[in-house]
Amino acid sequence: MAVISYSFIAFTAFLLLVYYTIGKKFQWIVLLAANIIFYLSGGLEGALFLLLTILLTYAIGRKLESYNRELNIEVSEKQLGAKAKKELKRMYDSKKKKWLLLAIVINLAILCFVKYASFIISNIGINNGLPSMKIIVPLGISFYTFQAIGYVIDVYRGKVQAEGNLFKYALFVSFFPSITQGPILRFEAVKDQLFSRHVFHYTALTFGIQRMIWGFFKKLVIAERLSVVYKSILGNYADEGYYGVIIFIGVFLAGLHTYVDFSGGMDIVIGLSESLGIVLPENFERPYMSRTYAEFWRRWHISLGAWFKNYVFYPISLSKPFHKLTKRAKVRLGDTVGKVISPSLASFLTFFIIGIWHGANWKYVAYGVWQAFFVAQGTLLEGAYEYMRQRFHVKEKRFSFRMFQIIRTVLLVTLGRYFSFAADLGDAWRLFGATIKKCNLYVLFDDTFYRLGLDEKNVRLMFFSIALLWLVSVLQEKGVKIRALIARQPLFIRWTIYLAAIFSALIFGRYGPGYDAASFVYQAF
Amino acid sequence: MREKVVSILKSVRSDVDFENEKLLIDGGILDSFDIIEIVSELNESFDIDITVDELEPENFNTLDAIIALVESLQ
Repeated sequence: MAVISYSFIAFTAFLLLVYYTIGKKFQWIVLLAANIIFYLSGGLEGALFLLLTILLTYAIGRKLESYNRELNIEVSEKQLGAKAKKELKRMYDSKKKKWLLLAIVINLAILCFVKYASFIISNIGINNGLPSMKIIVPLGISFYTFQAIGYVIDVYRGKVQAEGNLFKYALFVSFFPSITQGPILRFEAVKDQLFSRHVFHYTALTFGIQRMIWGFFKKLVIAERLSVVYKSILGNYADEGYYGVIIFIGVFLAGLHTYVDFSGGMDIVIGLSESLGIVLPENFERPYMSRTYAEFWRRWHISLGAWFKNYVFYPISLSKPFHKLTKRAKVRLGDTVGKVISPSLASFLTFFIIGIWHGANWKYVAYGVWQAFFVAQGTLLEGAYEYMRQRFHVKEKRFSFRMFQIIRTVLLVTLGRYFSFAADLGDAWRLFGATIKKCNLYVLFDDTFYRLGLDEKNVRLMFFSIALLWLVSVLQEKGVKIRALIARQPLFIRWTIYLAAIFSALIFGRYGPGYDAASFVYQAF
Repeated sequence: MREKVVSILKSVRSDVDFENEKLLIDGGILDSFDIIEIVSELNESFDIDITVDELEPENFNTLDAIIALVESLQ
């Protein structure tokens, strides 16, 4: 069942009706049933993979919990000293680690198998004449796998108690609003909300629905048009002879498309959950308003960043080999540089893994290295930047300096995206080459934009909608709560805004007969 | 102990008022690079072993919390 479909809207409406009319103690069961219906609508094969992950991580979570409990009992009964306590903990940790590794290895093996097997088998098949084999990629496999692994690690670390009820645990892993594209949930943050009883609140319902409409507007009115334009540029640039600034604009719009598409999807997911009385964490915080490169990635796909920070970056940074590396680096390079070598290298590795996760392609590796370099250089060269700011008497709080920082960040992020949007690494270099071939700023002022797949009317609508999105983002940056602001307006104004939003998504969301909205970009991961 | 911890924190982030700041992590003042630098320095200076399990916001949000964490591991 596609999220952008009338059947999904009907499914949601029916769910809300049942959810708020049925006895409150059954609400979580209704949600679980909704998860099952939603997931099975995508086919049975994928559901079996999901079931395997649920059963495995549930059982291992319980095992780890039993060790945690045994340890606590031993510590309290024997009244051990600090040293003996540490030794006992170490003994239990080594027992627990085997189970933890089992959960991680099996889940990652499944993830790698379905994500990369088609790629590997098709390569072998071409070379050896083997028949091609189609691997089913279960819906949202990355997101539920990360969620389940995070849960097991949190139980291992004793940060959360393992869930005793298998069905409640299944509800957490398979929560249908977020299973397709996130946000990646932490058990501790959502368990009480998922399993508790929810009283009907008119404001929560309407605010949730408004957010969903905003998400549909972003996806259907803005993202779908951006998609036509950027694909027209980057897909045919060699044949059409595009070069110079138009290529850069193509990559910029492709990046903007990913943001609008993905964050629009998040608006629908978070809005739907809000209607159910469940508050999910935000996944985007207006990344295009960031002043530094590192800040951009802190505001972009926040739950994935947090997952990698907690379960990859920190463990690598604090591992023994990295500890030794810091010591050596300090001796050889001095304190200032030496102490940031470890986290910089850990950051490189983390971005490298994130790159690989995006796809088995060298372009993603290059993309990961680019991100890591610009994130790490901010820390490595912080002293030099500070010196330059003082030397040139730069006033950091000035509007002009802030704008400079934002534009610089967007510029660097866009250059990095040359790697992700090119067909492969070779194509990325060709795109760079085409960009610097010749300066042709005049294309910004002639009719070039009207020849990129959209007519004049649709190009204007696209830019107007982007301007609206920008205005909303500026207001949100200033702390304005848009929905609360609209709710305070007189009835006539309020409903004019609501109806305008609904009808613009309905009318401008379908441009052309037989039009079918594309799937969300991150659904493919 | 307090002075030593403050001097370590200041060596990583001289621009932060560690004595008065109450939301070092939740307020987004310290980033993940800062945390790793601080943890490495604390581990070395106090001969303790702050592991990834202790990397919780409540252990790093205030100067007092950081000192309490160091004391608990000594």
